[in-house]
Amino acid sequence: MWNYERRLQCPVSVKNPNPKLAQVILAAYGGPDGELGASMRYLSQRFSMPYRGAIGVLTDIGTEELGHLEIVSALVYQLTRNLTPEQIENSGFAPYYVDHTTGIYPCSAAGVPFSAGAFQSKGDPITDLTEDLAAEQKARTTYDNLLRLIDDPDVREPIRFLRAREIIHFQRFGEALRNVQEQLDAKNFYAFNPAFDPGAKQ
Amino acid sequence: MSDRISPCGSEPMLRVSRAGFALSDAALYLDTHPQDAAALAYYQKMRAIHDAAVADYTAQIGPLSANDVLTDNEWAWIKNPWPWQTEG
Repeated sequence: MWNYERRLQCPVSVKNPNPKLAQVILAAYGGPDGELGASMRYLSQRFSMPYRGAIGVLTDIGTEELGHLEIVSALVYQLTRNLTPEQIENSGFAPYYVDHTTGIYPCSAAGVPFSAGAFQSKGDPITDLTEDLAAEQKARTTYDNLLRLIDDPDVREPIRFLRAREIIHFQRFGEALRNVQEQLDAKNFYAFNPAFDPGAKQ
Repeated sequence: MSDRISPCGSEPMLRVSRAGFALSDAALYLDTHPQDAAALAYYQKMRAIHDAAVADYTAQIGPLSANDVLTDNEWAWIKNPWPWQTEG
C-alpha cells in the first residue's frame, strides 16, 4: 500500500504563466515516455519478478515516479494559473483548454491521451529490466528535448532534477539486471525464463 | 501549527526535503548493494536527521502524513496549502 507525504520531492514555484510551455511539459506526465507510464510499468512488472532485490528496485523506483508525475503536474498547473483568453489564443493552448480547461489530464505533447500501449510487462526478468533501461533513457531524452525549449529558471530547475533522476534509475536498473544474470546460467542467460519455467529459479 | 510560515519554502521544509532525498536515494542504492557497510551507516545517519526534521516540521507547520496529525479540536491534515499551491 501507499501513504501520501504532503510535499513535492523537488519544490516547484513558478512565477510566470506560460501555456505554450505547459503543453509540451505535459508529455512528461502522460506522454509515451512520461512519468505515469514509467510508474505503472515498474509497479506492474514487480509481481512476476522472482528476485527480491529486483522487486525492491521496481517498487522503489515505481514509487518515486509517482512523486515525479506530481512534480510535472505541479509545473503544468502553475504554468497555467491566471491565464487570459488572449494568452490562450496566442499560445496554441486553445485545443487543450477547450477539452480540459486548466485541469491536469495525462496526455502527450500532441494531445494524445495516455495509453498503457506505451509500456510492457512481459513476465521475463531480462526482458522487463532491459525495457526499463530503455525507458529511463527515453525519459532522459524527453527532458533533454524540453530543456532546449525552456528559459525560465523556475521551470528548468525541477526538469533538471527529474532528468538527473532518470540517470540514477538507469544505473540501478543496470545493477538489478546484472544481479539477475548472476543468478542464471552464465553460458546461456536465455536457457529458461526464471519467472515461468518450473524449478528453473536458483 | 502556524499560518505565518509558508509550508513549502520554509526552512523546516528544506530540511525535510534534503534529508528525505538522501534517504530515498540511499535506499535505492541499498536495493542493489544490500551489504554495503558505508551505505548502511549513511542510511542510518540520514534517517536520524530525517526523523528529527519531520518532527520539527510537524510541530512548527503541520502534518506531512495523515498519521502525524495532532488532533486537538481541528483536522489539521487539510489546513495548510497542498504542495502545488505555492505562490508564484
